[in-house]
Amino acid sequence: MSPRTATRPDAPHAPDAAHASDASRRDFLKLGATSALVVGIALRLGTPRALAAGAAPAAAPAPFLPNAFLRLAADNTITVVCGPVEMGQGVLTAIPMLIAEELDADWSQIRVEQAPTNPAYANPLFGMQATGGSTTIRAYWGPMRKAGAAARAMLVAAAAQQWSLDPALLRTADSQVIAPDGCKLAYGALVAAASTQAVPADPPLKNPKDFRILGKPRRRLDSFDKSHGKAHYGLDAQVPGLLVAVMSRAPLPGAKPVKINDTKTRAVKGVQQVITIPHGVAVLADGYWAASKGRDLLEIEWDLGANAGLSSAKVTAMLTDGANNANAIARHEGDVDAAGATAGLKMIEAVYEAPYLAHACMEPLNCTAWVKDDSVEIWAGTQSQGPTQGILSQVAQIAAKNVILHPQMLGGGFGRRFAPDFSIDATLLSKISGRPVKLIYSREDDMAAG
Amino acid sequence: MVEISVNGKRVSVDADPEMPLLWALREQLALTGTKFGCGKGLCGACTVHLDGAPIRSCSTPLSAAVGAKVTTIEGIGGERIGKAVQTAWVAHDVPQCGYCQSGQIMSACALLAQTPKPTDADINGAMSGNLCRCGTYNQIRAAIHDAAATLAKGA
Repeated sequence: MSPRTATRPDAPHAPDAAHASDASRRDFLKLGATSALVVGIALRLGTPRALAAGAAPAAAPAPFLPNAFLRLAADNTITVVCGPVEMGQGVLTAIPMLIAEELDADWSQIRVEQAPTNPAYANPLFGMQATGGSTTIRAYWGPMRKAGAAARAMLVAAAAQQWSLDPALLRTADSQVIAPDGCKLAYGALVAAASTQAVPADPPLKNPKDFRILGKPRRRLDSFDKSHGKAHYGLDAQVPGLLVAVMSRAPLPGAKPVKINDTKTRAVKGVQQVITIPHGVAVLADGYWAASKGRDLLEIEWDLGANAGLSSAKVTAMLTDGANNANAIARHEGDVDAAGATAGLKMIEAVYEAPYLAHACMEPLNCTAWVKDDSVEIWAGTQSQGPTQGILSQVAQIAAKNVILHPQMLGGGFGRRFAPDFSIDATLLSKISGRPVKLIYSREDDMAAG
Repeated sequence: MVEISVNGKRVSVDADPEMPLLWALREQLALTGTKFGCGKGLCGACTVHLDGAPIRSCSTPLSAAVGAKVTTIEGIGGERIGKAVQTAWVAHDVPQCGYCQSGQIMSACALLAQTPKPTDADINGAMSGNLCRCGTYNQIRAAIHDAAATLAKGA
């Protein structure tokens, strides 16, 4: 299963992406640009962490919030709020580069944090907050530059007012507005005045020949944390009173547990609950080791259902049948038969086949869920924050606006973390157990169930 | 109660002595920099030092750490080699997803303690038990050489 094809949601395909209409980009920018209030709320809900070392708390006066994607503090630090999730591909550095370029920011003042789950951060190509299909730069390239350019225009307008000069006479560099006579105002000094400026609808973008940041190598903003054990992945979520769950998952799609003997499991010290859900049995314990030991002691009789007897040979046969269907031809060029009949040409035929493989992310799949009376909190390294939020709302039977999903760093994604299965299971188990639950698919389970 | 020494501090852990050291570090001591990858000692993500030697904490019982000094990614920067390696790791932008890197760094530090000037073959040999799904092996090798050079200069 190719990660790309397996995980691409119903969204425009790549070729369309390059031609995303200006209208949709404007709408996206407007959404961000007019949502300072939304941002404030989202940030509190999301409790984002500053990922870069030494991120300073915003000092009074209030920071300048031109849109959902950045905030500029009086101490000159610029915090970029990154919508896509980081799974090694570098978005926590690339998104800030897009904004910093158009903002003419001093790169050393740039910080970054993972955005909370909020429609303001939707991937413009997907129309939802999700990360995958190698779309991040294509999707956010225009909107993030516009976000930076809008902030810059507001800072310039604020400086022009202060100096009683035409804004067209002013230029910017290294987080400063510069007047024709060489006078300079640091962005941080303009925080309050910039906040009162109108948000430009369609700020002009730089000519790429003037780029100082884009197209040039930059150190990753997450290297320090990742080299010092400080980066927080889903598996590192800590919630007081949580139980760790390990599952015995159905050996085949559609299989169901029908008879369970959990006597030995319940005798393991630390095991608290054994819960059966439609496609597996979960052992909830004080920690992973007890849960894992308990899981290995489960005796389960499975009804394998319609897929009983499924094998690699049968899967190959199904795929071969499908490939021989006339409708399955993806591309047909030239006349093979005629070419084969040409003297001196030798016909070469080959069959290519790839097996099903586990994505095998280094970080085992996991999710921490806490279903409360009227809200749900989720900590997950997921590529599909937005859709997962909606799905978990249905699982928990709680309004989506009260499903607070904290996106975590991903220890590898590869498309596998687009699927919501591990998040659904964790939410179900928290709802049934009444406890915060950290569900971890063991490596064996990951390999067996894919 | 099991008493162990972690990053220079004596701590008590209320756990079965047979429980793997990894879970005591992560779940009881909140030292989550050490990662769980496979639970079988096959991927190296859980590597820590026991008296300076690299071990797989996911398959080392807590009892084995009694009377020994455990060092994790959170503590290795307090040592000369650890500091040089972490500095080189950042300078070379080694991590991608980063999940395996705590284990990689712990193995690299143990290598440099034994072999201050490792060849590529030494590095391949010492690091072969640490898997990286992103494929950062070239950066890892460059960073180890860089750290070795820094240490040779007496840093």
